[in-house]
Amino acid sequence: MKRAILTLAAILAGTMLFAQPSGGVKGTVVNRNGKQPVENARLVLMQGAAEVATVTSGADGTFYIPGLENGMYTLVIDAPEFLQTQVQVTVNDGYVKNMFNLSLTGMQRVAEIDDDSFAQFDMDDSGYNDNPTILFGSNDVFNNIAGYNFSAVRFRARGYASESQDVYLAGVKMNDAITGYSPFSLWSGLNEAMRSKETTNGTEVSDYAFGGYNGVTNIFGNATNVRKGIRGSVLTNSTLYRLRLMGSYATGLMDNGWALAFNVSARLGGNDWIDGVYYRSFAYYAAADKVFNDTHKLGFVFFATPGQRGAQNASTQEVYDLMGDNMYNSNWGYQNGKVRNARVRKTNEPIAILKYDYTPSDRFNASATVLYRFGKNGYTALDWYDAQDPRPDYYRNLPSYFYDENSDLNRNNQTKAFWAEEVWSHSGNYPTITHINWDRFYYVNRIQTDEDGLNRSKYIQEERHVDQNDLNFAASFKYRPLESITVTGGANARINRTEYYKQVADLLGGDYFVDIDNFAERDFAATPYKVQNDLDYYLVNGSARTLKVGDKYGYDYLAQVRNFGAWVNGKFTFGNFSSNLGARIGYESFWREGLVRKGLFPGTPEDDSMAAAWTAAGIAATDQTSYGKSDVSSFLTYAAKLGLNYVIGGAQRVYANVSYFNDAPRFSQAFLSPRTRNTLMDNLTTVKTFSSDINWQYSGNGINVRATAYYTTIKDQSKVMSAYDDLQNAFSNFAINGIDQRNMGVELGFKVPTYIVPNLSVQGVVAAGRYEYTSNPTLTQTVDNSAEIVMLDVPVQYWKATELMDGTVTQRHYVPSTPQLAGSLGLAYNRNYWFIDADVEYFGESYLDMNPLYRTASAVAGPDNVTTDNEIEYMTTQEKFNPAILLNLSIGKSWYIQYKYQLGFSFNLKNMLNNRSVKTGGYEQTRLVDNTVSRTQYYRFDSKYFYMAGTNYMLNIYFRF
Amino acid sequence: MKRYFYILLAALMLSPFAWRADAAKHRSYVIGFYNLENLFDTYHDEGKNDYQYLPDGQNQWTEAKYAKKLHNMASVIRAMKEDNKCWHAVLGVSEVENRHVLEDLVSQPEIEEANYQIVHYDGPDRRGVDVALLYKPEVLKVLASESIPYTFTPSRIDWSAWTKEEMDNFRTRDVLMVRGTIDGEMFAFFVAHLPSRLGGKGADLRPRGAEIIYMRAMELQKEFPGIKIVVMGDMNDNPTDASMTEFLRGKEKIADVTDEDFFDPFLSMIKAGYSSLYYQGAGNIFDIIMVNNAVANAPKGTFQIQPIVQKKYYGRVFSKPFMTNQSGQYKGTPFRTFSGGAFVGGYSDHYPTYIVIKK
Amino acid sequence: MKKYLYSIVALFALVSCQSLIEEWQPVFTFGDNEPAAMKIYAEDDLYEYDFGGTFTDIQDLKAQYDKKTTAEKSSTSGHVITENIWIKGQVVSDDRTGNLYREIYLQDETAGIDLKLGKSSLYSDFKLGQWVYVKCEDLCIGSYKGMPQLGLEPDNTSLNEYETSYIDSQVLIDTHVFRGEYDTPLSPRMLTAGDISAAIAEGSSAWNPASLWGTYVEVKDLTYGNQIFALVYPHGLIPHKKDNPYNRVFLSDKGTWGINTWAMSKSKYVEYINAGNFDAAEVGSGATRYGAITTKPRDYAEKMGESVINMFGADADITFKEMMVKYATANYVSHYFKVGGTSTILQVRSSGYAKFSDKEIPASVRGGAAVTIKGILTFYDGDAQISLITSPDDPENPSVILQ
Repeated sequence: MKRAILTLAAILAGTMLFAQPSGGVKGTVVNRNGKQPVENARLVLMQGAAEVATVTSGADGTFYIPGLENGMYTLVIDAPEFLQTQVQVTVNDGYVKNMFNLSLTGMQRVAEIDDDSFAQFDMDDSGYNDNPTILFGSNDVFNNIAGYNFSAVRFRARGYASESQDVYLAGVKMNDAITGYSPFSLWSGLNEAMRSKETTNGTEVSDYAFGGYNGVTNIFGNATNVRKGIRGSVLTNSTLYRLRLMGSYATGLMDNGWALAFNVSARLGGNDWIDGVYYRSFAYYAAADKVFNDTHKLGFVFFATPGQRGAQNASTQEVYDLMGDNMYNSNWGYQNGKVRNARVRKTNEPIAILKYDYTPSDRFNASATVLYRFGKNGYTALDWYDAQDPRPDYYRNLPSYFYDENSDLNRNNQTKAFWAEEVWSHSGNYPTITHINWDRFYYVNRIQTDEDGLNRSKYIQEERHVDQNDLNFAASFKYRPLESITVTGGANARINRTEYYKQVADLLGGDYFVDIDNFAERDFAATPYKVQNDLDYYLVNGSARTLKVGDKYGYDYLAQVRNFGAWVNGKFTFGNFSSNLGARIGYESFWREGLVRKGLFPGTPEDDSMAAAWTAAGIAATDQTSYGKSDVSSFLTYAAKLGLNYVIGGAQRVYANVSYFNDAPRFSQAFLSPRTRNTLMDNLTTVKTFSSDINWQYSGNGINVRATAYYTTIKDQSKVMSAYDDLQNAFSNFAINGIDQRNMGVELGFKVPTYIVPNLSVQGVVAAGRYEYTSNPTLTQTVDNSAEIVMLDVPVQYWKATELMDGTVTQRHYVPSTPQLAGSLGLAYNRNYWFIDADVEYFGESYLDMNPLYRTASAVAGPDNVTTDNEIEYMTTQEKFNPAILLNLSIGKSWYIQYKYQLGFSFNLKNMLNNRSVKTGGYEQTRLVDNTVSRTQYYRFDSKYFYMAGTNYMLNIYFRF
Repeated sequence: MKRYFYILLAALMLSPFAWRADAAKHRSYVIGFYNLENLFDTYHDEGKNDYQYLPDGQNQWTEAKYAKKLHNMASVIRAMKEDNKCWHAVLGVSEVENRHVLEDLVSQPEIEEANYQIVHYDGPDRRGVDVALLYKPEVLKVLASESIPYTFTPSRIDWSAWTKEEMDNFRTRDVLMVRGTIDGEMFAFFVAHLPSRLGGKGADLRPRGAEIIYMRAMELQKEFPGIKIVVMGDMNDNPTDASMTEFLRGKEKIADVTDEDFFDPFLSMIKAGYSSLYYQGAGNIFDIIMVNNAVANAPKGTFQIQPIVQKKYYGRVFSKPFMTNQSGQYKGTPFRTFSGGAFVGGYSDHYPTYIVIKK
Repeated sequence: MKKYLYSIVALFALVSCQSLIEEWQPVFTFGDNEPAAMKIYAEDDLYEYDFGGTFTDIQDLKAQYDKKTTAEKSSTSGHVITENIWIKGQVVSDDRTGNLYREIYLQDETAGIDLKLGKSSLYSDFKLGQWVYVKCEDLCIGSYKGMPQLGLEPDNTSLNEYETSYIDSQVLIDTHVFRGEYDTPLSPRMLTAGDISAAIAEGSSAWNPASLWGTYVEVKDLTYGNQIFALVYPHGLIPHKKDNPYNRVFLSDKGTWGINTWAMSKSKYVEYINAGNFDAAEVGSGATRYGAITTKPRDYAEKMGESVINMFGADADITFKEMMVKYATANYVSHYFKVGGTSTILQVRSSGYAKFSDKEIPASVRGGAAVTIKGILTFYDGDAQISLITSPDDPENPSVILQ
């Protein structure tokens, strides 16, 4: 034990005695050119003027000077034929400073200064003329503010239809092949995965796509573009869903060249405003990118958003007033005490993407993408056979059906009106009348016992399917031969096979349903073959098919769409001026393929045995058929764009665009009655659009302003609709073509710092436009059950204006469902991660969607075929919504914890004035009242409206590490 | 009548013909600054917080990434040489870890022929980043250099909001001052990397940095009358901010510059919309280079700053498509080394800036 | 910084728990959550709706008709029942074929009554034989061409030709008409020619308590009477009132007008017109007669008067026949059958909307073969009629059977 202490003491003594400063410096002297060590270099360590030590470098060029106090030294290195080099060395905390390599420059390499030994800075071309690079692209101030503040009122930029906005994913156009609708619902809930995108405005050409006249959004969607790290968020939104949980993890580009990204989310529950509307949607996303080298990159993405969503229905003002609730939704009812929605969207449409990027140099890059979309898209609804209409707000259940002070309507039963009013104004006491009575469906279905003891359901829940198989190939390239010329272009091919059919979703307590056409049975009760939805099955089995849950019935046909296109765009810059010229050419064709032969339209027998069977069953051939391939409708499409852009300097630019488009009509607007027959609307033609705009933009030191004037005409649009026509007392198809419109107006967006209060800026947006119909289209009406032509190319005389007998125009008619005058003014404060925005918005000049039937001469004239001015005004005037003023507030704050973790929240409060009477849209019904006392005019059914929710909030708490 | 005469004279003076005649006799040099965005080596320097930039660190800073970073930095310096047809005579840099990374940079194949010499001091910055100066030995003869520490006194700024203790353990980069001669004319180069805007109470720190430089510069002007001073660095402030206009007295027009002021060529450029870096979509110029009166209104026959962009701007922000993001939400901004925490193999989040002096 | 964090979390918790209670009970989606059957009322469930405990015989209910107030007598209204009267009866009608529309017939031991519910496809809700309890207070009993009907008070409009109106209002149906338990459907009462002629003899005293009207009957030994009755309206838009003789065409008296189907759907009616079956028919009713349907309203301009011509509008210059085609609709037809070889007539009245409307009456029947017919016996302006509740050749339960 003693010995241990002694040795310890000795060690301690040792260090004490020879305690020397432990600091030092070491390194290797090398020749800058070629890195060979320099032997015998003389190294003098100076501190201020005093020499501290002198050493010479060893054979391997190394040197080591120990025993230095902390402090700053200068190491002077000299070697023959080398330039003297001085190295500042700091020794701290007693460490030996490792200087690694200290390179000496050979003397002969450094010539004395003389004129020609080094080139002059060439002054004669007076330097450069490069321009300020101003970020105009994605952060457009108008879109940023308008996009957020106007979303509640379904604002559509420049009055263009939402289908005109091109949305691309990984370079593939995702707008629906059949309807053109925007596809955001395909990846809703995957916000993190789809965050990185590039947008262009108006007719600007994107690097990835030629685009239309309403901007292009290209979402990258591949793994490398997903923000690295683990992220999660919890969100509740009082108008959408009670809870959204979202998580994402991305590796970013790892050293092994792989990048992986995952994103999952769930959106659950209802909301505070609209009963019956709920979400049970999930979403998953997985993506992997493999970067082989700077030139080749391959990416794979797979995602889907399976789930279901309860839908909302619009009602008439009478119902809203009686119930005192503009948010009444007639789609739901109680079943066993629980809320059940009849209209539920059930979708599971996965998308798989394979993308290859080829970037051989920084002057040229190209990519090719294969994208395949498949899966199921169902939308449930009630279907009933020979039974009372189950819809609670069916017009015959409303007080206005029993009593109306207009005596011409001959509705004078005040008792029934009183009781209907009593029910609707105390709906809480009569849930089975003011909401769907699910229990009654089960009751009715259970007592329809047939001779075999099975119950034939009268009420069922059907699921209308639109199952898409959408295969896309897209390639694009970007080539910059010169600094001033950039050429982009690409080609795409789309093969879309969409199956439309209905299937039985729920027999509601019954045992089976029968596959016959309910409407046809009323007209052709005597000829049973005409009532069949599946004639071939009927001929084989002698009766219609009995349906179980999951069986297809009603209609079953394929929409086949093919389109191929190629585009190119050249961008040329000369100093401050740049322009782009682009063109697109394409070929689109579509046809219908009936998979089931409908009794009403059997077509012609394909072979003798079928002909014999038909004659035996008394089936007459029809020229229009429901079965097999329809005529192929094909169109050559083309478009051209010219853009001029001049940077005035001082962070300003002026730019103008002019473009022309010749686009194919949509499949959904081409077939008279796709559910029953192959018949195409005749004289179907392409939609011709001319668009021009001129813009001024300022974006510099905190100030962002953009002003635009635009003028666009869209001609030869077509529309197909089906509705029950009271004049013919028959369900009819209406084909309307030759709809022209002109959208013109101005846009102004600005965000300017207040300078008085730091970090506080004023932001505002004004969008004022006139979106007018400029033509009276023609209308062709056919009876759905017989294809008999009732009206052929009849002009819709009052479509573009309410014009009295003597020609005076009392009202022009406008493109509906978007405010033509929208403004927002607010303050935005943001300082060290606090974000506070308060905005006041004004929306005006929005009109209701018009029903073409009410604007035909026959509907206006009334049964006596005599047209008077007040008949014109009554029937054709387009309803104008009241202007609305809203107040929004949003607050956000995020915290960085140890520079690695981020926690934050954002809280938005919308419509703080609780303005409950803001109509956001709606439509005129197609029914007409024709049995009147005076028989001099028809009366319109009440219109249906959607309203905006009152004060609502969204709270999002997110974290990242 | 007299007015017309002067205009005629000026036109003659400026006409290109006049320039060409005596181009041979004249000599011009490029002086620039470049924030290299975290140029770290892969070894741990004791006493420095460089843990993020180690192979097993958060950024997985491997040899391969270090080599790509060096190559990228060198290729930007070479690209500037291609444009200017001559190497930068003097290049101030910031965000470099130590002398070792500078030794590796100057010996990169792209720029080795420039024989850049290094002036670098190990600074006290917590993140271990320093400023340094690279110069061509055949142009600049270095006489002296110093590493000016960041102190709080003497100062005309009110520091009452700061406690003594806060001031003592506040760490940031030193200001490097190198004095030497070019063609016999005395020059002093200041290279700074003022405290960043992140963090709460930073508002006065940058003015203080500017004040430190200004006071030292005025001492040098007294000590060496007629000395030409160039102040450059990542100021973390725009030319329009108080630190630059009030504390360094950076003036927009040469005519307004006196011996107590500096000429800031980037003041008119920020107003014109030029940017050397972007933050939340807004353009800024933090990489500022100023010259004192001796360079702005240089006596006849001595080095004077020259307009080099559009015949009216005396500074240039250098950018080429290869160092700019070509796609995504950051399109048009500098293509940086790290984005959103992931290594994307770019260059720097700043563009280099430079001026030209001519004799 | 921490305190902000806590306040936000608290706000979120407050918001969520308040709505958690009322909302979180998840919205029902799918699966096997089938509800219990709808309520079947037993007698003691009715006390909740102040049922007095005793039911009134349907024949005594008819007696209420005589308690019309002076106001009701002066207007065209039936009698709104003010006493707490309850009736119960079994369902004997079925509107499956479409021959009956928006009404069901209830029958007890004493009589039958036509209950005008107003809803369509009532066979979905009321099964044959099912007991139904009706609280008659606030309902209105009236007569339509002598046939007793139970409904709601009529629309108070001058155009009205009806003493009662359809109930229609679901809340009134729910509080006055109660579904009882299912029972075996009543078999039809066997009637002889004598029973029918006696019933017809009661004539206007259809209110006679012992009458058979509104009950489910079966009549044997019926032979086709080779005569029909149908009333059609050439102009679809001029009101079909009695005092518009210019818009009425009677197909009656002279044989069957070529109509060999039980009734006329819209397409069958147009077929007959175009075949010229009705060319001999005359426009007009009661005292005012115009001319054959092949003439035009213009031909009677001065007889009709200016205002009536205006009513026809452009149609004044087309023949009534063309008008009948232009405004064609489905139409009722009554076929006369002689009862047991006697001169008593029983009319088989069928609706043009019935599924069997265009079915031909078998040639043998038209040839005079004896048949048995089952249906609801109704009284119409002095004639006995029968409404078939199943298709004449229905496989399970034909309503017209060759003997």
